[in-house]
Amino acid sequence: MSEVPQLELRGVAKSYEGGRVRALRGVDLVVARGESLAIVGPSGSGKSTLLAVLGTLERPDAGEVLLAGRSVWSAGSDLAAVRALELGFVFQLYNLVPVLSARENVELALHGRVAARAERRRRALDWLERLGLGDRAEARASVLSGGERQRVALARALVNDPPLLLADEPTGALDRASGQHLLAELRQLVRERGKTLVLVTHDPAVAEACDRRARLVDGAFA
Amino acid sequence: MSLALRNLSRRPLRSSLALCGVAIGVAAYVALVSIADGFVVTLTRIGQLGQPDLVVQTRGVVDPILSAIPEPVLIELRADPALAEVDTYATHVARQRAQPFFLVFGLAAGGASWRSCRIEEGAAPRTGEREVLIGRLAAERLEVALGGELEASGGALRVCGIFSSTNALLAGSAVTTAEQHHALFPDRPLAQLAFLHFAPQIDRRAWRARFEERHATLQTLEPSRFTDAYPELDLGRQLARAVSWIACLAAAIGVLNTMMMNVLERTREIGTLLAIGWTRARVLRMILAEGLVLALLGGAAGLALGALGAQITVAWLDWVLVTAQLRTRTLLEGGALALVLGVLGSLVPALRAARLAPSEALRYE
Repeated sequence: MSEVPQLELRGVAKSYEGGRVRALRGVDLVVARGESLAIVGPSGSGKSTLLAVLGTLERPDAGEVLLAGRSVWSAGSDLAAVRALELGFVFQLYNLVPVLSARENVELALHGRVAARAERRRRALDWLERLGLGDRAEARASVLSGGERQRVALARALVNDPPLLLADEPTGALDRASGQHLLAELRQLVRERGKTLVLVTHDPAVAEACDRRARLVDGAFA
Repeated sequence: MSLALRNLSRRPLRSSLALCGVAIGVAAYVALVSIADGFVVTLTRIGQLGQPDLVVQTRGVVDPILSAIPEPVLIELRADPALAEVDTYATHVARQRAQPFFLVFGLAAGGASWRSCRIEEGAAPRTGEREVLIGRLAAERLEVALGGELEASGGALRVCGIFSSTNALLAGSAVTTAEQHHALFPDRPLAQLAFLHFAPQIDRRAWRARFEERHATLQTLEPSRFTDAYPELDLGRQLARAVSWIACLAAAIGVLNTMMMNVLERTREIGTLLAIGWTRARVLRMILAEGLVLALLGGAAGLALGALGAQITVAWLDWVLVTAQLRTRTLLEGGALALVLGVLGSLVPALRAARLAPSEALRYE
């Protein structure tokens, strides 16, 4: 019996403006556990919509989204728990809370999941240490460099230890050196901790670093 | 709490203005209600002149000044062996430049109220003369010395003596005998109120029932509940509340505006929180907490400001009848009002934040 894929899309369609804009047209996709997939494609091809659907942020008009074999939009599904425990998001512009410290930003992902403040703090610091930000843990997000911010965002995405990481242009706002450094960390995490990674990118170098690439054109894989 | 404070600190000016709005609303409430309550306390002292057991007045009057005890009833009361003493009071408002509600009391000569006035300078008023005794507090406030004059309808009143009294209302007024008062102000009755002191071992309840049965136009009141008979006092309280509610409405709009702007500016951030697993209820609580922190800080400032404002207003007006009575209940109501302002002002923004579609919020520019 074959292993249940980490992520599976079956005939997913999504349109906007009353059906006039068809962002996704019956997309099928299977991503195995521990696999890294780069979704590439021109602007407006539906990459961001696809990532939003994968991350349960958008409900598809048709089709199914399965995480580890379970349909995320089935009745009774706790979407907040799915987002917290099964998915980790990394955004192009980091999306940190500027008035909070690096540690507090990471702890945000644990609110409502880990009741004890000390445990939240320990886990956040642990991830910041692993990503080389131990000495910047108490610095406000607003004073961190772009590379540091993205690593904080990565720590936030990983602190609940989700099996699937979703990244939207994770190196898009970084300089080349910081981007390569972050990419190396992502690859290491995928390899060492068995994470599944799906990222959207315009950067061929980032796409090349993934196990597989899928090109999206006009809402369908080419 | 810490997160709420940190979020509010992002826009210090905006948050401070909303906080000031809450503080002003709460302060207006506390100050106005305290002054209204102070007025009630002042009038309650009328019913406690001479510390009687019971007060008699005309049934249903809305102000003691409108009451009149008929002379036959006074004679009957004074002849009643169940009563150890019958004291009376009549009053006239003699407008002074600095005291628009300056009171001149006519007290039963030798009665308990009269005896409570200890003459420190000068002598008692002479019969047939336009003379009054003035309380020490009133003499200081009006800057009137022995031999000085007070304005009154029908001609000036000469101050023949200065007295001290433990009753603040009397100390801030002028007094003369009931007969002299009636002669000076013929439109005033000899007695507006009668203060009854029972003889020992009298069944007061039975006496009251018999009295009210015989005199349907009169009613008896417990001195401590004297002001309950005057609906106008409650009107004063309600008016104070109504005026302060206008300030509170403005404060609620201030909080609402601040929180709406905060939510709007942080749309993408709220989208991020939803994307990383925050429940909508948690987002709702976060925004409500910010509104409540604003309200709590503003409320605390408002309570202090209101207490101070009431004292400053009373001191500025410098009227004997206007005092401030800061009650624990008023402070608790002020605190509760602040919380209501916080919830009202942040509920709509919090609901809006909690209902955001995460993908749209993340795209928000």
